[in-house]
Amino acid sequence: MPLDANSAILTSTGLTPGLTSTGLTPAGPLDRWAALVVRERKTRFSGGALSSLWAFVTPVAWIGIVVLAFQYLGRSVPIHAPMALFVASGILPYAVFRQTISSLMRSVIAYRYLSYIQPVGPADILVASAILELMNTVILSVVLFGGILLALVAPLPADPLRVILGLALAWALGAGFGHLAATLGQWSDTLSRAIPLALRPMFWLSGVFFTATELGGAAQAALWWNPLFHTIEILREGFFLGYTSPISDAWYPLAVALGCYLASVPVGRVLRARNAARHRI
Amino acid sequence: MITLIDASRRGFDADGPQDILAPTSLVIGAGERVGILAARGSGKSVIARLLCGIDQPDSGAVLRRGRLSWPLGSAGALHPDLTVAENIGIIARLTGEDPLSLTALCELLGSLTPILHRPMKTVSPAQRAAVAWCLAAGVTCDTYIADDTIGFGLDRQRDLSEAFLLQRLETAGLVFLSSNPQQIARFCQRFYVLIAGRLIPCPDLAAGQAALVAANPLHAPAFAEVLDD
Repeated sequence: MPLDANSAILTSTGLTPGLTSTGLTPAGPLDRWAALVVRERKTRFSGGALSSLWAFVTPVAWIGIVVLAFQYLGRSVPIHAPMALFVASGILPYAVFRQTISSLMRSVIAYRYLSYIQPVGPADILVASAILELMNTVILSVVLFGGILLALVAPLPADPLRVILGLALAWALGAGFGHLAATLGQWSDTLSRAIPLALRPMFWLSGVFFTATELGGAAQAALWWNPLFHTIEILREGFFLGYTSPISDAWYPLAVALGCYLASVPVGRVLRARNAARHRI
Repeated sequence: MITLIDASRRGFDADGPQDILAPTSLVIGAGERVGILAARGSGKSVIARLLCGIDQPDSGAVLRRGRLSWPLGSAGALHPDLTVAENIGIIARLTGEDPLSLTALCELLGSLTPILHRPMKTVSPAQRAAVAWCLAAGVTCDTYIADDTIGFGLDRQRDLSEAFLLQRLETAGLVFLSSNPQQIARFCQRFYVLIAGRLIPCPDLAAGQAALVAANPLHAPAFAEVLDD
């Protein structure tokens, strides 16, 4: 009986003798990324129906805390705008930048076994994570800014394209730097712990709580080199009518993002050629 | 088809760095079934990953033509938070297989119907092994790689998985690394034995086994057990 059952199954598996697999087209990069984005999207906030709410709760909580701190400290908003909107204009690009880096650093290690499915490799995992973060950025921005604008009946952004440019640059910076950080993190445990620590001051140095126009000449000149500051100020120029910032050059963060990404390519090659990744697969 | 050109790989054990594979040149032709007899702990998994393209050689090159499987039964790519069906669907998309057909094939081969829509983390280790094996063998490949695991389950399921693999091998090749000479003899036609990082061709598996035992006296009991089976 068991043998009969097995042979029936084998017949129904439809394997035709003489069939070669050369006709099967392996998934191209776009198909691979699409499949990995679906995988990442389904598992990112796994743990119940409410779990995806956390993507919104965290930045909303940050904004709430900073608004309360501003009120407690008696800090007035340097731009003529509702306080919540000003705080959100600083925190959102920062959150996008930071979240993209964390996501890339995490996924390349957590999903390293996907490289068993050749030709999937770390580059595919990183690209898929970056795409998912871009999708999250769009949703988060629409929900957060939309919610604040509706709640406070504030005016719409003066230049929506510039708002989008600011957010896109914050994401690109996170994706570019995240590629480099994730690649280095695969190699060194010290670096994977040190990079988030080294990024901590970015929260204070990127204009999340202040604008470039409030800074003195020396501070302004020094912080000009912080690419994230540019993305936040570009977003504010787009949001708040009449606001112009001395630190809002789109090319600079774009160049840093591209530079980091390009630097990660040879680092990744050396890492793989020498089997130097610290995690066993 | 897999071609090794002076490919080598080093690894570490308690005595420091060791050659898992000394510089080796070798051609495994399309459709060939090659068995590599190796002692436990001699680096079979590393060599399997090297052949699949998951790991790179420290020197030399490994060239591949046609599609290679990942080691049969490797479960690392399965996500614990996704259901069994979602995992199969995503791996189908990554490999270019039709998700529905691959799911149906795995369901049939692994008797997965009761667990198909359960999260991977809630299924038993045996069921997880079944899913992993069915996926690797279910994807159409030109050469299958097996690292110790050649089938899955017990009794009828093991028979079915092995029969399915043999059916696959009518149109595909196999590289099977194992410490079990009897299993190698059942699935393979050409044999090598791995001794001190060298792949030594042996026309006769019994001779290879004797050489391996002579080279690794410590492993002799393990082989004796296998022979007694």
